[in-house]
Amino acid sequence: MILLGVTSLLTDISSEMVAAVLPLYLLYQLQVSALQLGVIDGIYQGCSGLVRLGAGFMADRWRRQKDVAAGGYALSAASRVGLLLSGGALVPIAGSVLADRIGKGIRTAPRDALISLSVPQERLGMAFGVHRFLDTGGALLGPLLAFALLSLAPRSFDVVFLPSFSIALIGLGVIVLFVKNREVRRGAGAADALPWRECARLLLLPRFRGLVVLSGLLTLFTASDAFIYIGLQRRGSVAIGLFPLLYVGTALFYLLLALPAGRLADRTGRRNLYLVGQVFMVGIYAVLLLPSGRGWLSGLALPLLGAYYACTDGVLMAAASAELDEALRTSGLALLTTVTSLGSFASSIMIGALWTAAGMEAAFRLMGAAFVLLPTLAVWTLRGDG
Amino acid sequence: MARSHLASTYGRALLFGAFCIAAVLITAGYVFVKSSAARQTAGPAPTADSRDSLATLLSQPHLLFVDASDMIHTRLAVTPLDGLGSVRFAADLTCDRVYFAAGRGLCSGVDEHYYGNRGVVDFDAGLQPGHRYDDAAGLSSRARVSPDGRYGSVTMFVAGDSYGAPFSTRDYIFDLPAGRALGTLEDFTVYKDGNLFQSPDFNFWGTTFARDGNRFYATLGVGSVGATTYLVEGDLAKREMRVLRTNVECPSLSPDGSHIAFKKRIQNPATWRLAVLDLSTLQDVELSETRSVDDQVEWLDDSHVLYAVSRQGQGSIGYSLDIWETSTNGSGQPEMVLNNAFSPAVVRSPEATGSGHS
Repeated sequence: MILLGVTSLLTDISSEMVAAVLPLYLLYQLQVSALQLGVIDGIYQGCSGLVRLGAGFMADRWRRQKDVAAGGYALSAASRVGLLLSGGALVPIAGSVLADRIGKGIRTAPRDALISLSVPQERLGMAFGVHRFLDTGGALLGPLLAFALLSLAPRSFDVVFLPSFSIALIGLGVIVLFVKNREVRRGAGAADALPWRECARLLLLPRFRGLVVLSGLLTLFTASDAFIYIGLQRRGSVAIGLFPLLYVGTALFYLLLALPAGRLADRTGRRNLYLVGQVFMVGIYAVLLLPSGRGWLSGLALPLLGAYYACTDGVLMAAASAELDEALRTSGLALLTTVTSLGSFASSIMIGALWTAAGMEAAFRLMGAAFVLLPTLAVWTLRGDG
Repeated sequence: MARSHLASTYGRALLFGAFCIAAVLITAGYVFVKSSAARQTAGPAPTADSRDSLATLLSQPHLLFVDASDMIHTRLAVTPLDGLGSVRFAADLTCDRVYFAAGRGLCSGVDEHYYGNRGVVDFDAGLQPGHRYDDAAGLSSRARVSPDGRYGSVTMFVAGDSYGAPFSTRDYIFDLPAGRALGTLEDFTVYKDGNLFQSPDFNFWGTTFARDGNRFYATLGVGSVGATTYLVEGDLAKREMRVLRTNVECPSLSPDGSHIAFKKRIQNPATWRLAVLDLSTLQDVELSETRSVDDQVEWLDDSHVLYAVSRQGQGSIGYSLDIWETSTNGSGQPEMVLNNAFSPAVVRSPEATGSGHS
């Protein structure tokens, strides 16, 4: 579990190094108004669910979580070579970015499954807490390292891409050489491959199904970071120059709270903590809707958002792992992540449309109300499912 | 069995250790070589002799630009309008974008040792830096000063505040005599067909100011990718803008105020054609330049524009830029007028100084 955390730490350092300087690189090296990089995100959004589910099913079918996860890490590492050799042409760069995202899509579910299989059930929350702590640490260190390197050799972006590649390779080395494929216990008739129809069983597990529906519904009305930050800034509580610090601040609180939240989840019940985490999102909506002019209240948004992530991201995976048979764990986690990310995507589209039609305040008010009301109703009706 | 397992674990650890050391050494060596190379390419600072010549040059009609002979240390430079490139002097100020009008200049991207391109500084007619505008953060891409020297504007790319897009743009307005920022165009109210127009993913870029010291034009993009772009006409005093038409980016108002030169997107995501818009009819004419140009053009006079085109080349970062000239009636052939240069700013009457004249 620690080893997987180290791989994630290194891979995240590597990815965030590149992500932090890519806009600079495109602007200086390619002379393009790099807004177009968003095209890649658009393409990826379309196929991310397929990538995740496909990789999850494959991992379960052949019982090779480690190999599928390692494949994802390898693809991300290889994408850095594309950057190094692109010679500043847009197509290879776009291809590299896409390969990196696909690698991430492939590895997430098998990696989370491996984390969950590495500890006894009563410590699932802690295991994910440790992992998310290391993962977020990597996301914070990456940009710092990238900018330190660039200040040594201004505008020679290779000084970021090559170290990023080396770090990704070392991370890949850790998982390939030291992480073991877990022996997954199988029921009767242990055929070589898990039959496809077995995966359909996922939807018949009432508690897991309840979790998927509930989390999907919640994310559908959860404001994404970007909207929260824009909201804070439009209310005049945050100077525009401080914008990048919002991301850093949130990550810092998430980092600090990930491990305690994981331990708490193990003690108080992971589903319970996941629901408590939603209260932090209610708090964020409240901050966004308060009469402006109280700057200190807006300052609460970052710890609230950090706490929201700490209580929901890894905790949801831990809660789901506890419900899933080991043989189907990767597919189940992949399905859950796909549903929640579709929910966030739909949420962004809704906020955007409401904002355009009725303004920022109205958008947050409606989404906030829906966030509180609909899932409450859902929880009420799902209680019977036990 | 146990022994061989132990041996293989030991062997793997050894292999991994060796691999890590090799990776770290190779990477560190590469970074070291690159960073020493970056230090060596810093060009000579202007000498006392060239400072005198610079003063003479600045008293005649001249072109300010950014010198691209060293793409790592891109200096503010000057050349006479009468004989572009016959003499060129680089000042001791590093910029990524410059503009100048009525005795006041703006230079954005001042700190060459910083990782990126943060900070905006104004400079005087002697090219001496003055006030720093710290509120403006991001990667600078456009800069303009109003004809009366009262207002300045820069466009910055900002990372990641638009969903689905890795970064968006901000357009800052500065009160130059007061040395302070007046906010960004996102703080202004926008009207389209008489109705309030709002969206979380508004982006503004490429401001150009009119002679009256209050009116301006800019690009409004809605959405992130392949966004619809609009030409807006704004009022600084009222902090309002209204939409005039679609597909106009990086407007540049002609000296007589009757036309706007701009880049027109002809293919997503990044192919533009230069065109000139008649403000009385809102119809445009495409220019004879057929290459894709990503720049905010500068009017040389009422019938010619200057703009930068990038060129693959050697040197530290593999490309450079040159300034080209073409006629605005859509005929004639584009002509390269200054090599290794970008961000042109025409200074026709160097004696006109400051807001006192406006």
